[in-house]
Amino acid sequence: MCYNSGMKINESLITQMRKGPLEFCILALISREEMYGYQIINELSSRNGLVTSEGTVYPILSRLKEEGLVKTIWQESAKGHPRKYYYITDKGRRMLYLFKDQWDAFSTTVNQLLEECRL
Amino acid sequence: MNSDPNDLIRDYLVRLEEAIKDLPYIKGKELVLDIESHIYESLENSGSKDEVEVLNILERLGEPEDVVKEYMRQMNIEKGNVDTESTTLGDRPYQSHYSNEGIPPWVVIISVALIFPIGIILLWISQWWATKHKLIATLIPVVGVFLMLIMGFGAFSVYRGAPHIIEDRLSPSIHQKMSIDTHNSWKIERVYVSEGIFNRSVSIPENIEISRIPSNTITQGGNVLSSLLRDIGGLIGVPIMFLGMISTVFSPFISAVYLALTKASRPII
Repeated sequence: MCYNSGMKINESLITQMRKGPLEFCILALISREEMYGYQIINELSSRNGLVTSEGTVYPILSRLKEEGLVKTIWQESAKGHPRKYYYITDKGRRMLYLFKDQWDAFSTTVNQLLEECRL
Repeated sequence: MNSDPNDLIRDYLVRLEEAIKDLPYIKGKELVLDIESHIYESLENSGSKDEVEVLNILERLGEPEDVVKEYMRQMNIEKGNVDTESTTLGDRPYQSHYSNEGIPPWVVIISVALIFPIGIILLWISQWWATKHKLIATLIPVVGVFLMLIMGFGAFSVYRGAPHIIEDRLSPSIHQKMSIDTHNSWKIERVYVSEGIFNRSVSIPENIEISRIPSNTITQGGNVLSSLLRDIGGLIGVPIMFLGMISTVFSPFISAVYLALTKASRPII
Protein backbone atom coordinates (compact mmCIF):
# COMPACT_ATOMS: atom_id res chain seq x y z
CA MET A 1 0.00 0.00 0.00
CA CYS A 2 1.65 3.14 -1.14
CA TYR A 3 -0.75 5.72 0.22
CA ASN A 4 0.46 5.44 3.81
CA SER A 5 4.03 6.35 3.17
CA GLY A 6 4.77 9.73 4.60
CA MET A 7 1.73 11.41 3.20
CA LYS A 8 -1.19 12.47 5.37
CA ILE A 9 -4.20 10.97 3.71
CA ASN A 10 -7.76 11.62 4.71
CA GLU A 11 -8.55 8.71 7.00
CA SER A 12 -12.24 8.66 6.07
CA LEU A 13 -11.37 8.30 2.38
CA ILE A 14 -9.56 5.04 3.04
CA THR A 15 -12.34 3.90 5.33
CA GLN A 16 -14.85 4.63 2.59
CA MET A 17 -12.76 2.79 0.02
CA ARG A 18 -12.86 -0.30 2.15
CA LYS A 19 -16.50 -0.11 3.07
CA GLY A 20 -18.07 -0.59 -0.33
CA PRO A 21 -16.28 -3.79 -1.30
CA LEU A 22 -16.19 -5.15 2.27
CA GLU A 23 -19.68 -6.58 2.20
CA PHE A 24 -18.82 -8.41 -1.01
CA CYS A 25 -15.63 -9.71 0.54
CA ILE A 26 -17.80 -11.15 3.29
CA LEU A 27 -20.13 -12.68 0.72
CA ALA A 28 -17.13 -14.07 -1.16
CA LEU A 29 -15.80 -15.65 2.03
CA ILE A 30 -18.98 -17.40 3.00
CA SER A 31 -19.77 -18.39 -0.58
CA ARG A 32 -17.27 -21.21 -0.04
CA GLU A 33 -18.50 -22.46 3.31
CA GLU A 34 -20.68 -21.32 6.17
CA MET A 35 -18.74 -19.43 8.82
CA TYR A 36 -19.43 -17.88 12.21
CA GLY A 37 -18.83 -14.21 12.96
CA TYR A 38 -15.47 -14.50 14.68
CA GLN A 39 -14.20 -16.75 11.90
CA ILE A 40 -15.26 -14.30 9.19
CA ILE A 41 -13.60 -11.39 10.98
CA ASN A 42 -10.45 -13.39 11.58
CA GLU A 43 -10.22 -14.17 7.87
CA LEU A 44 -10.84 -10.54 6.91
CA SER A 45 -8.35 -9.21 9.47
CA SER A 46 -5.65 -11.56 8.25
CA ARG A 47 -5.84 -9.83 4.87
CA ASN A 48 -4.18 -6.47 4.76
CA GLY A 49 -6.29 -3.36 5.01
CA LEU A 50 -9.77 -4.84 4.89
CA VAL A 51 -11.00 -4.26 8.41
CA THR A 52 -10.03 -1.55 10.87
CA SER A 53 -12.55 -1.98 13.66
CA GLU A 54 -13.79 -5.54 13.86
CA GLY A 55 -16.99 -4.63 15.66
CA THR A 56 -18.36 -2.83 12.62
CA VAL A 57 -18.45 -6.09 10.64
CA TYR A 58 -21.46 -7.24 12.69
CA PRO A 59 -23.70 -4.38 11.52
CA ILE A 60 -22.77 -5.28 7.93
CA LEU A 61 -23.62 -8.92 8.56
CA SER A 62 -26.95 -7.81 10.04
CA ARG A 63 -27.77 -5.82 6.95
CA LEU A 64 -26.79 -8.64 4.60
CA LYS A 65 -29.16 -10.82 6.59
CA GLU A 66 -31.85 -8.12 6.51
CA GLU A 67 -31.57 -8.03 2.72
CA GLY A 68 -31.75 -11.79 2.42
CA LEU A 69 -28.24 -12.15 0.97
CA VAL A 70 -27.19 -14.35 3.87
CA LYS A 71 -29.00 -16.46 6.40
CA THR A 72 -27.96 -17.52 9.85
CA ILE A 73 -28.21 -20.72 11.80
CA TRP A 74 -27.20 -21.44 15.37
CA GLN A 75 -25.04 -24.49 15.87
CA GLU A 76 -23.40 -26.06 18.86
CA SER A 77 -19.62 -25.86 18.75
CA ALA A 78 -17.34 -28.67 19.77
CA LYS A 79 -16.64 -26.70 22.94
CA GLY A 80 -20.31 -26.68 23.80
CA HIS A 81 -21.37 -23.08 23.27
CA PRO A 82 -23.63 -22.08 20.39
CA ARG A 83 -22.30 -20.21 17.38
CA LYS A 84 -24.23 -18.21 14.83
CA TYR A 85 -23.19 -19.42 11.38
CA TYR A 86 -23.72 -17.31 8.29
CA TYR A 87 -24.35 -18.89 4.92
CA ILE A 88 -25.00 -17.35 1.52
CA THR A 89 -28.41 -17.48 -0.15
CA ASP A 90 -29.15 -17.76 -3.87
CA LYS A 91 -29.90 -14.05 -3.87
CA GLY A 92 -26.54 -13.42 -2.23
CA ARG A 93 -24.78 -15.51 -4.86
CA ARG A 94 -26.44 -13.57 -7.67
CA MET A 95 -25.43 -10.30 -6.03
CA LEU A 96 -21.86 -11.55 -5.65
CA TYR A 97 -21.77 -12.56 -9.30
CA LEU A 98 -22.97 -9.10 -10.39
CA PHE A 99 -20.41 -7.40 -8.17
CA LYS A 100 -17.56 -9.57 -9.39
CA ASP A 101 -18.45 -8.76 -12.97
CA GLN A 102 -18.48 -5.02 -12.32
CA TRP A 103 -15.47 -5.05 -10.03
CA ASP A 104 -13.24 -6.85 -12.52
CA ALA A 105 -13.85 -4.21 -15.15
CA PHE A 106 -13.67 -1.37 -12.63
CA SER A 107 -10.45 -2.45 -10.94
CA THR A 108 -8.75 -3.10 -14.28
CA THR A 109 -9.54 0.42 -15.38
CA VAL A 110 -8.42 1.99 -12.10
CA ASN A 111 -5.21 -0.02 -12.03
CA GLN A 112 -4.38 0.94 -15.60
CA LEU A 113 -4.88 4.62 -14.89
CA LEU A 114 -2.83 4.47 -11.69
CA GLU A 115 0.01 2.75 -13.48
CA GLU A 116 0.05 5.45 -16.12
CA CYS A 117 -0.17 8.36 -13.71
CA ARG A 118 2.75 10.71 -13.12
CA LEU A 119 3.66 11.20 -9.44
CA MET B 1 -2.57 0.78 36.42
CA ASN B 2 -3.85 -2.75 36.57
CA SER B 3 -7.46 -3.67 35.86
CA ASP B 4 -9.29 -6.93 36.08
CA PRO B 5 -9.80 -8.21 32.50
CA ASN B 6 -13.40 -9.06 33.39
CA ASP B 7 -14.01 -5.47 34.47
CA LEU B 8 -12.69 -4.24 31.11
CA ILE B 9 -15.09 -6.50 29.25
CA ARG B 10 -17.97 -5.52 31.49
CA ASP B 11 -17.28 -1.82 31.02
CA TYR B 12 -17.21 -2.31 27.27
CA LEU B 13 -20.54 -4.14 27.29
CA VAL B 14 -22.12 -1.53 29.57
CA ARG B 15 -21.14 1.15 27.08
CA LEU B 16 -22.54 -0.96 24.26
CA GLU B 17 -25.83 -1.48 26.13
CA GLU B 18 -26.03 2.27 26.60
CA ALA B 19 -25.36 2.94 22.91
CA ILE B 20 -27.96 0.48 21.56
CA LYS B 21 -30.80 2.40 23.20
CA ASP B 22 -31.36 4.18 19.90
CA LEU B 23 -31.81 0.89 18.02
CA PRO B 24 -34.97 -1.20 17.80
CA TYR B 25 -34.92 -3.27 20.97
CA ILE B 26 -34.49 -6.73 19.44
CA LYS B 27 -31.89 -5.57 16.94
CA GLY B 28 -29.88 -3.96 19.70
CA LYS B 29 -29.94 -7.11 21.79
CA GLU B 30 -28.84 -9.12 18.77
CA LEU B 31 -25.87 -6.82 18.25
CA VAL B 32 -24.84 -7.14 21.91
CA LEU B 33 -25.06 -10.91 21.60
CA ASP B 34 -22.85 -10.83 18.47
CA ILE B 35 -20.23 -8.71 20.20
CA GLU B 36 -20.35 -10.78 23.39
CA SER B 37 -19.80 -13.99 21.54
CA HIS B 38 -17.02 -12.36 19.50
CA ILE B 39 -15.18 -11.43 22.71
CA TYR B 40 -15.75 -14.93 24.02
CA GLU B 41 -14.41 -16.57 20.87
CA SER B 42 -11.43 -14.21 20.83
CA LEU B 43 -10.52 -15.16 24.38
CA GLU B 44 -10.95 -18.85 23.59
CA ASN B 45 -8.51 -18.52 20.72
CA SER B 46 -5.90 -16.43 22.47
CA GLY B 47 -3.16 -17.94 24.55
CA SER B 48 -3.54 -15.66 27.53
CA LYS B 49 -6.56 -14.04 29.06
CA ASP B 50 -4.72 -11.23 30.79
CA GLU B 51 -5.34 -7.51 30.77
CA VAL B 52 -3.19 -6.80 27.70
CA GLU B 53 -4.90 -9.46 25.63
CA VAL B 54 -8.38 -8.20 26.58
CA LEU B 55 -7.35 -4.62 25.82
CA ASN B 56 -6.18 -5.72 22.38
CA ILE B 57 -9.37 -7.60 21.66
CA LEU B 58 -11.48 -4.58 22.64
CA GLU B 59 -9.21 -2.24 20.72
CA ARG B 60 -9.65 -4.29 17.55
CA LEU B 61 -13.44 -4.30 18.04
CA GLY B 62 -13.52 -0.49 18.05
CA GLU B 63 -15.50 1.86 20.27
CA PRO B 64 -18.94 0.50 21.14
CA GLU B 65 -20.49 3.81 20.10
CA ASP B 66 -18.87 3.49 16.68
CA VAL B 67 -20.17 -0.04 16.25
CA VAL B 68 -23.71 1.20 16.96
CA LYS B 69 -23.20 4.19 14.64
CA GLU B 70 -22.15 1.82 11.89
CA TYR B 71 -25.25 -0.28 12.59
CA MET B 72 -27.48 2.77 12.21
CA ARG B 73 -25.67 3.75 9.02
CA GLN B 74 -26.08 0.28 7.57
CA MET B 75 -29.75 0.08 8.46
CA ASN B 76 -30.52 3.69 7.54
CA ILE B 77 -31.71 4.47 11.04
CA GLU B 78 -31.86 8.19 11.45
CA LYS B 79 -30.72 9.92 14.57
CA GLY B 80 -29.97 13.56 15.16
CA ASN B 81 -26.28 13.21 15.86
CA VAL B 82 -25.45 10.44 13.43
CA ASP B 83 -22.79 11.52 11.00
CA THR B 84 -24.60 11.51 7.68
CA GLU B 85 -21.55 12.68 5.77
CA SER B 86 -20.01 9.25 5.90
CA THR B 87 -22.92 7.77 3.97
CA THR B 88 -22.25 9.69 0.79
CA LEU B 89 -19.91 7.15 -0.73
CA GLY B 90 -21.67 4.11 0.67
CA ASP B 91 -25.18 5.00 -0.38
CA ARG B 92 -27.37 2.01 0.17
CA PRO B 93 -29.17 0.93 -2.99
CA TYR B 94 -31.81 -0.93 -1.00
CA GLN B 95 -34.72 0.49 0.91
CA SER B 96 -34.39 -0.24 4.58
CA HIS B 97 -37.24 -1.68 6.61
CA TYR B 98 -36.88 1.02 9.15
CA SER B 99 -38.22 3.82 7.01
CA ASN B 100 -41.64 2.18 7.25
CA GLU B 101 -43.04 2.80 10.67
CA GLY B 102 -46.56 1.66 9.87
CA ILE B 103 -49.59 3.01 11.69
CA PRO B 104 -48.79 5.95 13.99
CA PRO B 105 -48.91 4.79 17.61
CA TRP B 106 -51.38 7.46 18.75
CA VAL B 107 -53.91 6.20 16.17
CA VAL B 108 -53.60 2.75 17.72
CA ILE B 109 -54.01 4.07 21.27
CA ILE B 110 -57.12 6.11 20.44
CA SER B 111 -58.66 3.23 18.49
CA VAL B 112 -58.11 0.86 21.40
CA ALA B 113 -59.86 3.30 23.74
CA LEU B 114 -62.82 4.13 21.50
CA ILE B 115 -63.37 1.27 19.04
CA PHE B 116 -61.76 -1.57 20.87
CA PRO B 117 -61.99 -4.50 18.37
CA ILE B 118 -60.54 -2.42 15.54
CA GLY B 119 -57.97 -0.93 17.88
CA ILE B 120 -56.76 -4.37 18.88
CA ILE B 121 -56.32 -5.41 15.24
CA LEU B 122 -54.32 -2.24 14.57
CA LEU B 123 -52.29 -2.90 17.70
CA TRP B 124 -51.22 -6.35 16.53
CA ILE B 125 -50.25 -4.98 13.11
CA SER B 126 -48.35 -2.11 14.71
CA GLN B 127 -44.61 -2.30 15.23
CA TRP B 128 -44.53 0.01 18.22
CA TRP B 129 -45.14 -2.52 20.97
CA ALA B 130 -43.47 -5.70 22.11
CA THR B 131 -45.60 -8.83 21.84
CA LYS B 132 -45.75 -9.02 25.62
CA HIS B 133 -47.36 -5.59 25.87
CA LYS B 134 -49.75 -6.32 22.99
CA LEU B 135 -50.86 -9.44 24.81
CA ILE B 136 -51.44 -7.66 28.13
CA ALA B 137 -53.36 -4.83 26.44
CA THR B 138 -55.57 -7.41 24.73
CA LEU B 139 -56.13 -9.36 27.93
CA ILE B 140 -57.13 -6.41 30.13
CA PRO B 141 -60.60 -6.14 28.50
CA VAL B 142 -60.86 -9.94 28.39
CA VAL B 143 -60.56 -9.84 32.16
CA GLY B 144 -63.18 -7.10 32.05
CA VAL B 145 -65.53 -9.31 30.07
CA PHE B 146 -64.83 -12.14 32.49
CA LEU B 147 -65.89 -9.86 35.33
CA MET B 148 -68.99 -9.03 33.35
CA LEU B 149 -69.80 -12.74 33.20
CA ILE B 150 -69.39 -12.90 36.98
CA MET B 151 -71.70 -9.92 37.09
CA GLY B 152 -74.23 -11.92 35.10
CA PHE B 153 -73.82 -14.80 37.51
CA GLY B 154 -74.27 -12.42 40.42
CA ALA B 155 -77.41 -11.00 38.92
CA PHE B 156 -78.72 -14.46 38.22
CA SER B 157 -77.99 -15.44 41.81
CA VAL B 158 -79.94 -12.45 43.06
CA TYR B 159 -82.76 -13.50 40.80
CA ARG B 160 -82.68 -17.05 42.08
CA GLY B 161 -82.44 -15.89 45.65
CA ALA B 162 -85.59 -13.83 45.32
CA PRO B 163 -89.07 -15.36 45.58
CA HIS B 164 -90.23 -16.66 42.26
CA ILE B 165 -93.42 -15.61 40.62
CA ILE B 166 -94.62 -17.97 38.00
CA GLU B 167 -97.74 -18.12 35.98
CA ASP B 168 -99.14 -21.51 35.48
CA ARG B 169 -101.66 -22.24 32.82
CA LEU B 170 -104.18 -24.67 34.20
CA SER B 171 -106.67 -24.39 31.40
CA PRO B 172 -107.00 -22.09 28.40
CA SER B 173 -109.19 -19.75 30.35
CA ILE B 174 -107.73 -19.83 33.86
CA HIS B 175 -104.25 -18.60 34.84
CA GLN B 176 -102.96 -18.79 38.30
CA LYS B 177 -100.09 -16.70 39.56
CA MET B 178 -97.99 -18.41 42.13
CA SER B 179 -94.97 -17.45 44.16
CA ILE B 180 -92.42 -19.48 45.96
CA ASP B 181 -91.57 -18.43 49.44
CA THR B 182 -88.33 -18.84 51.31
CA HIS B 183 -89.35 -22.30 52.45
CA ASN B 184 -89.59 -23.56 48.89
CA SER B 185 -93.30 -24.15 48.94
CA TRP B 186 -95.58 -22.83 46.27
CA LYS B 187 -98.46 -20.58 47.02
CA ILE B 188 -101.21 -19.46 44.76
CA GLU B 189 -101.38 -15.68 44.83
CA ARG B 190 -104.08 -14.96 42.36
CA VAL B 191 -106.20 -16.69 39.84
CA TYR B 192 -107.17 -14.98 36.64
CA VAL B 193 -110.15 -16.08 34.73
CA SER B 194 -110.23 -15.07 31.09
CA GLU B 195 -113.50 -13.69 29.95
CA GLY B 196 -113.15 -12.53 26.42
CA ILE B 197 -110.52 -9.80 26.34
CA PHE B 198 -110.89 -9.03 30.03
CA ASN B 199 -109.13 -10.76 32.85
CA ARG B 200 -110.99 -11.03 36.06
CA SER B 201 -108.79 -11.29 39.05
CA VAL B 202 -109.89 -13.46 41.92
CA SER B 203 -108.06 -13.13 45.21
CA ILE B 204 -107.08 -16.31 46.93
CA PRO B 205 -106.83 -16.51 50.69
CA GLU B 206 -103.22 -16.58 51.85
CA ASN B 207 -101.28 -19.68 52.81
CA ILE B 208 -103.20 -22.16 50.79
CA GLU B 209 -100.50 -24.61 49.84
CA ILE B 210 -100.60 -26.76 46.77
CA SER B 211 -98.55 -29.86 46.27
CA ARG B 212 -98.49 -29.81 42.49
CA ILE B 213 -95.30 -28.42 40.94
CA PRO B 214 -96.30 -25.97 38.20
CA SER B 215 -95.67 -27.35 34.74
CA ASN B 216 -93.48 -24.51 33.45
CA THR B 217 -91.43 -23.66 36.49
CA ILE B 218 -87.71 -23.69 36.69
CA THR B 219 -86.97 -26.54 38.99
CA GLN B 220 -85.81 -25.17 42.28
CA GLY B 221 -83.03 -26.96 44.08
CA GLY B 222 -84.08 -27.73 47.55
CA ASN B 223 -80.84 -28.75 49.20
CA VAL B 224 -78.76 -26.74 51.65
CA LEU B 225 -75.84 -26.07 49.28
CA SER B 226 -77.91 -24.52 46.55
CA SER B 227 -79.82 -22.32 48.95
CA LEU B 228 -76.50 -21.26 50.51
CA LEU B 229 -75.14 -20.38 47.05
CA ARG B 230 -78.29 -18.46 46.42
CA ASP B 231 -77.87 -16.47 49.59
CA ILE B 232 -74.19 -15.72 48.86
CA GLY B 233 -75.08 -14.81 45.31
CA GLY B 234 -77.71 -12.44 46.58
CA LEU B 235 -75.29 -10.90 49.05
CA ILE B 236 -72.28 -10.31 46.77
CA GLY B 237 -74.16 -10.13 43.48
CA VAL B 238 -74.75 -6.41 43.64
CA PRO B 239 -71.16 -5.27 44.36
CA ILE B 240 -69.84 -7.66 41.72
CA MET B 241 -72.39 -6.38 39.28
CA PHE B 242 -71.11 -2.88 39.95
CA LEU B 243 -67.45 -3.92 39.55
CA GLY B 244 -68.21 -5.82 36.38
CA MET B 245 -69.96 -2.87 34.85
CA ILE B 246 -67.11 -0.49 35.71
CA SER B 247 -64.44 -2.83 34.38
CA THR B 248 -66.32 -3.61 31.18
CA VAL B 249 -66.87 0.02 30.38
CA PHE B 250 -63.40 1.22 31.35
CA SER B 251 -61.13 -1.68 30.39
CA PRO B 252 -60.43 -0.41 26.86
CA PHE B 253 -59.35 2.87 28.43
CA ILE B 254 -57.12 1.01 30.86
CA SER B 255 -55.62 -0.82 27.86
CA ALA B 256 -55.06 2.46 26.07
CA VAL B 257 -53.31 3.99 29.07
CA TYR B 258 -51.19 0.86 29.39
CA LEU B 259 -50.22 1.12 25.72
CA ALA B 260 -49.34 4.78 26.07
CA LEU B 261 -46.98 3.86 28.90
CA THR B 262 -45.34 0.92 27.15
CA LYS B 263 -44.90 2.33 23.65
CA ALA B 264 -41.40 1.63 22.34
CA SER B 265 -39.24 4.58 21.36
CA ARG B 266 -38.76 3.04 17.92
CA PRO B 267 -40.73 0.54 15.84
CA ILE B 268 -39.90 -3.01 16.76
CA ILE B 269 -39.30 -5.31 13.81
